[in-house]
Amino acid sequence: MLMRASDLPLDARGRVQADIVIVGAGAAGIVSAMELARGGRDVLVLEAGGPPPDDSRFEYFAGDNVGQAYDLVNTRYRGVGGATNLWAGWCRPLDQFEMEFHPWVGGLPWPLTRSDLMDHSRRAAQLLDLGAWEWNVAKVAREHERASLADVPGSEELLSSTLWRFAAQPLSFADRFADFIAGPESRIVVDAPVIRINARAGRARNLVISPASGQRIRVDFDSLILAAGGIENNRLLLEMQSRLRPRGQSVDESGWLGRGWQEHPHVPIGTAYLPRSVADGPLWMYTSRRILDGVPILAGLTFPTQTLRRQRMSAVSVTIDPQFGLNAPYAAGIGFAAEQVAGEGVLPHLLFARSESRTVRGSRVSLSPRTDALGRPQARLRWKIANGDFDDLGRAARMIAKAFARLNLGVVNVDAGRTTLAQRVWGGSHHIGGARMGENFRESVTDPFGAVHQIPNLYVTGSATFPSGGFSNPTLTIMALALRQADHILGRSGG
Amino acid sequence: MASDADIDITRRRFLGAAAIGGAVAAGSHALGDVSAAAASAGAAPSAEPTPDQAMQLVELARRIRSGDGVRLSEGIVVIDGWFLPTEYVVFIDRYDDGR
Repeated sequence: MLMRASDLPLDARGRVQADIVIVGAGAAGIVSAMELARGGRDVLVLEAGGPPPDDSRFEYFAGDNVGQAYDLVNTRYRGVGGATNLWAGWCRPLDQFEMEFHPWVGGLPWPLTRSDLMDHSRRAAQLLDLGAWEWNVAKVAREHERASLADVPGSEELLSSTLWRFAAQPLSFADRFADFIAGPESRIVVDAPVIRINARAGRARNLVISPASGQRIRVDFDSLILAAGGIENNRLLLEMQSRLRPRGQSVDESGWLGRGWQEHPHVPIGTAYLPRSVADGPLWMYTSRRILDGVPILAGLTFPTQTLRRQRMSAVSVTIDPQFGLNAPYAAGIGFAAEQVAGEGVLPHLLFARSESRTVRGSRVSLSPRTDALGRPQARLRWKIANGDFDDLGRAARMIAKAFARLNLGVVNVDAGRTTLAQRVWGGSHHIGGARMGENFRESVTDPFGAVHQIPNLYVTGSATFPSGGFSNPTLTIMALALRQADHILGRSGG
Repeated sequence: MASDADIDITRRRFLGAAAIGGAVAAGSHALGDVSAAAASAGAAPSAEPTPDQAMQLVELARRIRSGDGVRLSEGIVVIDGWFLPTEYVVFIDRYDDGR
């Protein structure tokens, strides 16, 4: 059930108790709470905001932005459902290439394989009504008697395809899981911002929340799960670290806490003029979301993994979006030429990249000297994108342009110089890294199940634990990791 | 489609004249402007270009002939960030010849 912090029943000492406390009622927190509550555990979810719509992020998510321009406020949501209230529903599991360690990308090897995560990824997909677990574009196209890029002779050496499935409405987890949130299985507390997490001798002991009433309420637990998002999780851990360090204790011994933070660079890289027979033929699944078996699906371009390895590129995906507002030098003339050569209408499309990011140690969340209305240090974000990422984006644009020309799919204008990209790039509200998982406490903050190495009853769930980011939208993987972590806590073999 | 002979002539022209380097350093384009091409997008091909299209085709043909900022890359013609199948170049070249 949903309740306000000021209505929490307190024990004789004025405290609240729970077996497991989860901080944050977003994608990770709600999935985690459902799994653990249904596994018989006493779970209390603490959400800083209220039920949506909640505008408190404007007050509390401000912070210092000292790197690549970034919107710290509107890429997050403070309230039940978390950032799913802003979500567009894009889903894709990380593929094996994205989970491999590539020295030119950095980060850490994932301490689990795609197969290890498969059962939990499938369960997450079921929760989102993503339809069949099939991510091969050519197979999906064939099943629906459609062509795809794989049907273009010679394409397989130059380009690959990737697939997104889109979650069914409602996208906000506040609505999608409304029955659980309102039902007797759950205890979800709104207006419960955490102002302090106390730890001692390698264990998290309790935390303090501060509702708007001005009370200070202490919450005791056996285990604590931070599911507050990829910036707030880091901020909470860093705040703990800042208080533990002077006492000779630590949240992290690797030196990576808050570091290696990344986003998926999102940026246009060019325009493609496609004859209608191409846009509606082999690129039919790429040029618009198609509803197949009741599920919206979109294909995108990537590159053969052997090409990525040979060129030491990070993984780049590119969508092909119909546009009617492009103006490049010669666009009108070349558009006319393209129509005459093709003998049919030609449609302009934006080539839009969503790419993997190299791990940059100096790209980080840290604590600002400024505090919010509750006296907590605000987050300071320094988002740094490696020059190699911009170079890869430019290379990807040229590779697609050459491939389209050689395969006679259309004509492409590349507009992806490093300076242009740096001016235009933004993110996907994908907050990755800072509490990366790994086997070894000397190089990672959390273990393969998201437990903080130095404080094993403190867990982190969410994309802050990703050891590398791939290009896949993170929500499905966040949910899969939350389910896997819950199974681990419940002592199930599937964990 | 252009004949093999057309393509070969065009390729030789480029190989002789192309100034290599900086081929994809295209000028920036402003997203949001509706161009004449965009306005006609998806339409069936018309025999006559608009004045704007014609002006750009003539300029492209001039660039192609002079090799000014044009290069051949793996059988594809690159000019100001555009990657053109050879057939397109042949059309542009011929358009100016027959204009």
